[in-house]
Amino acid sequence: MPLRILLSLVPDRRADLDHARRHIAYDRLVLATGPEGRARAEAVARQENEALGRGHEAVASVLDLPSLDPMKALDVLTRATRRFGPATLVLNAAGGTPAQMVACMILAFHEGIETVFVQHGHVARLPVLQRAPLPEWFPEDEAALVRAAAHDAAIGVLRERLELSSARSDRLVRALVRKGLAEVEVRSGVSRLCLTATGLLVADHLDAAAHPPGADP
Amino acid sequence: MVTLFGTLGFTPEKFYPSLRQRADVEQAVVFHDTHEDSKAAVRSVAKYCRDLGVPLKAVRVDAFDLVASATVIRDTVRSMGPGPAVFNVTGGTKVLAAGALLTCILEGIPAVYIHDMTNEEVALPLVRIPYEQLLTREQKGVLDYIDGHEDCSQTDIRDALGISKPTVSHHVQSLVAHGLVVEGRDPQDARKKRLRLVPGARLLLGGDRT
Repeated sequence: MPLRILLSLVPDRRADLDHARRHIAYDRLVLATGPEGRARAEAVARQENEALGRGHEAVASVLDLPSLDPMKALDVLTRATRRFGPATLVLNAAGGTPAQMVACMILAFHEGIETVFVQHGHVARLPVLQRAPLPEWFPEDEAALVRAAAHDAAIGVLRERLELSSARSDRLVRALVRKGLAEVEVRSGVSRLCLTATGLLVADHLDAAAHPPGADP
Repeated sequence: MVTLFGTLGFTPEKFYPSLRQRADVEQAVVFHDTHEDSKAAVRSVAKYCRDLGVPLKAVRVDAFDLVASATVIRDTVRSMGPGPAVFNVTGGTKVLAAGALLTCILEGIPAVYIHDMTNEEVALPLVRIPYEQLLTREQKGVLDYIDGHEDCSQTDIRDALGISKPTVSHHVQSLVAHGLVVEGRDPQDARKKRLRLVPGARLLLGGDRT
């Protein structure tokens, strides 16, 4: 059975964190915080680990999370969740800075992760369709084009590499543009498929799905 | 021309950069709660908008109820029509911001966050997720039945929909795994399990009921 990891932002009130620890079942606890909550997080992690006694593997750890920039925080969280591998993840999005919370939310929705808000003694669940990460609802041929485009690439080159007919590649390009994942630019007379910021994020997700942690590159 | 949506807490300053940095705002809509400081923030935003000649609509929500606030936000967004829009999700409680983000994902609205240090807009990489398309027709049928018959059992579903017991069990387990349905014990008979939708499941799947 896979480990169950509770990845929690660090609330201002210690009681809210203790409430989350009591009411969410977990095998490992990861407290994600910036400098503002580091002392609180380390105190809780120390308490958890000392409670096990000597000779046991630590169950609690602290993850450094950017406090002010949601994109940087999202990047750290995404990398951390990939390192967890096949573990089942639960997010507690209550606490932290607004930027950290926004990052947590985006991760939850995009990866289909069970997410709770534990505040003032109350556990609320975020409506997330669990186990439905982005790659699940992306048609394979669109995903292949996003992966092949990497950042931006000539559409003619992509067509040849993926062995697509003109009509098929046009249809796929239009679908990606409609979803806001790519734009078509003409440079030096060549049509190029350029991924948007969202498209790059999706490409990142698709790569992670194609090469899960521990798999051969 | 763009409709600018925003969540508003006690600090109207988190909303102004979106107004300042866009020359094409046709109207603004803010979501706020009933706290006096929040009402004061709405008055400040209203004055700012008046000076700019941008019409403002203020919508009251329960900033501590995720599903309720997300439902109000989604309904308001839909009532404004399909034109271009952008959502500043920086202000308000974290629950309110989460409700706004959920709406942006469901309705495909670009979301922005005001950076705490630079006060610049940061575009958030949200992708519209067609949750309703992730379920099969059969799963939706089972979900609809549970929605209309709270605390029903798998036997009730089998009898009502005329599908086999293993098929019902399979669909119910997949809905439970997706986090849309929960199973609870029947107080009268411990062998039976009662089914109900989780709060927000309907919102996620595009329906009106919660």
